[in-house]
Amino acid sequence: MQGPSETPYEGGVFQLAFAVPEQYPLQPPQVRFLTKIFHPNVHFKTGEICLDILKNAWSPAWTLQSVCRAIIALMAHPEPDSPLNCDSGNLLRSGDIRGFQSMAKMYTRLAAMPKKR
Amino acid sequence: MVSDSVTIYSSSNPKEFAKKKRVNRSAKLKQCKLDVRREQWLSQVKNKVCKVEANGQGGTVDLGIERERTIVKLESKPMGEEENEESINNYISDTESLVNTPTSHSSSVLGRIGSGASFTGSSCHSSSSSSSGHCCLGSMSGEDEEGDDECLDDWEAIADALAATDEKKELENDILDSPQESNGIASRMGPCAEATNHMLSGLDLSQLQKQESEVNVQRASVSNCRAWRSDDAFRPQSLPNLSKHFSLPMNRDPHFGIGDEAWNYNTLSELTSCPICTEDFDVTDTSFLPCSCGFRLCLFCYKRILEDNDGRCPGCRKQY
Repeated sequence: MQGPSETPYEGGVFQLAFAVPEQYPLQPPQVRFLTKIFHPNVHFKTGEICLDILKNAWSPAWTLQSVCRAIIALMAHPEPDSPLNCDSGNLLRSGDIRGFQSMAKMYTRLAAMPKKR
Repeated sequence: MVSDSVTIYSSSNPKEFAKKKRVNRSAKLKQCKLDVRREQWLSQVKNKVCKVEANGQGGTVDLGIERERTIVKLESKPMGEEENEESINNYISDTESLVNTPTSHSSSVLGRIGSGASFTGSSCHSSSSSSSGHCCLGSMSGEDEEGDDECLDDWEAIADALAATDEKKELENDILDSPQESNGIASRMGPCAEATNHMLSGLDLSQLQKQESEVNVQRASVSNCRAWRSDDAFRPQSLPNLSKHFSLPMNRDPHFGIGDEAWNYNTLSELTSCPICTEDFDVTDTSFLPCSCGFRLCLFCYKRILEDNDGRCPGCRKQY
């Protein structure tokens, strides 16, 4: 998945792992980031995503594609009130948007961009 | 006579009638095509009648109304269509006798008018018999639904029958010129010839088209009636709208079944399968609307959502 433009994740390519349960689509798929990402709603170590539609707000009408869209939307609009990444959440909640963006950009460069050097 | 043939068909195919419930939807689609086919026949008859005498207009207009009613009844109540058809055919044969009775009287006095009027009568016959053929098709469609192969196997026999049909048609045309005894023969010829044709139209429309064009050549009074263009004045109103008409592949596609499927897919793509399990909807599922938001799913998934999940509509998250 490509990082959405005009975000600190722009230019990055993020790998996701989808685990589709047997009861899908009655049960939501389990999705996590394989690529490291600095985002308040993504666990920095495990890549777990805190997204309501992957938990209690799941509807069988959703598809894997719509889940991808939702994740892209989440990357563009982080939700610092339910943080899995406390550092990132704290930066945003304290209003340090510049600090958050530079951190996120740095990790995108480090983890999500093909190495050139 | 006509109603007799109907009774024979309906009684000889009780099995198909039972099957029809299952294949109701696809039968409906075929019905639509057959209606179009019938319109074509009727317009040919109309042309003829208009040429012969203005007297003929009344008969065809009556039939037109009758036809409309037939179509309406078929679409509103496809389950009991054979009964409907039967009653309609009875009605038609009543009107026939009405048309025919004064004919036989007057023609004994005035041979000229008699010939015109008997023409009207026979056109009534052929069109009413076309609805009888149509009726038998109602049961036929059930049959050819599960076995296109069967139909193909029978093709040779049908081709023979068609040749015979063409001869009959010729005979009929000759007979129509002589006033008196034509009614009886035409009424005997009409139903079987038309019924054969319509059975065939259920089997393979494009083949019929070919045969029909031969018949058209024989019918010298009729100009090219192969198909309607969208701007054609004789194009009947009951034809489907333009896009549908174009997507109907029946005039070009040699494989009837495949064309039918393609049509299905084009027009009903979002309705043919359950969005949850991706299984195709069956007849019950198609008419199953569990939620006011319009989100549709098959009964199996509905049951699973009610029992195993929270019982809320996947489309709008409202409680079922």
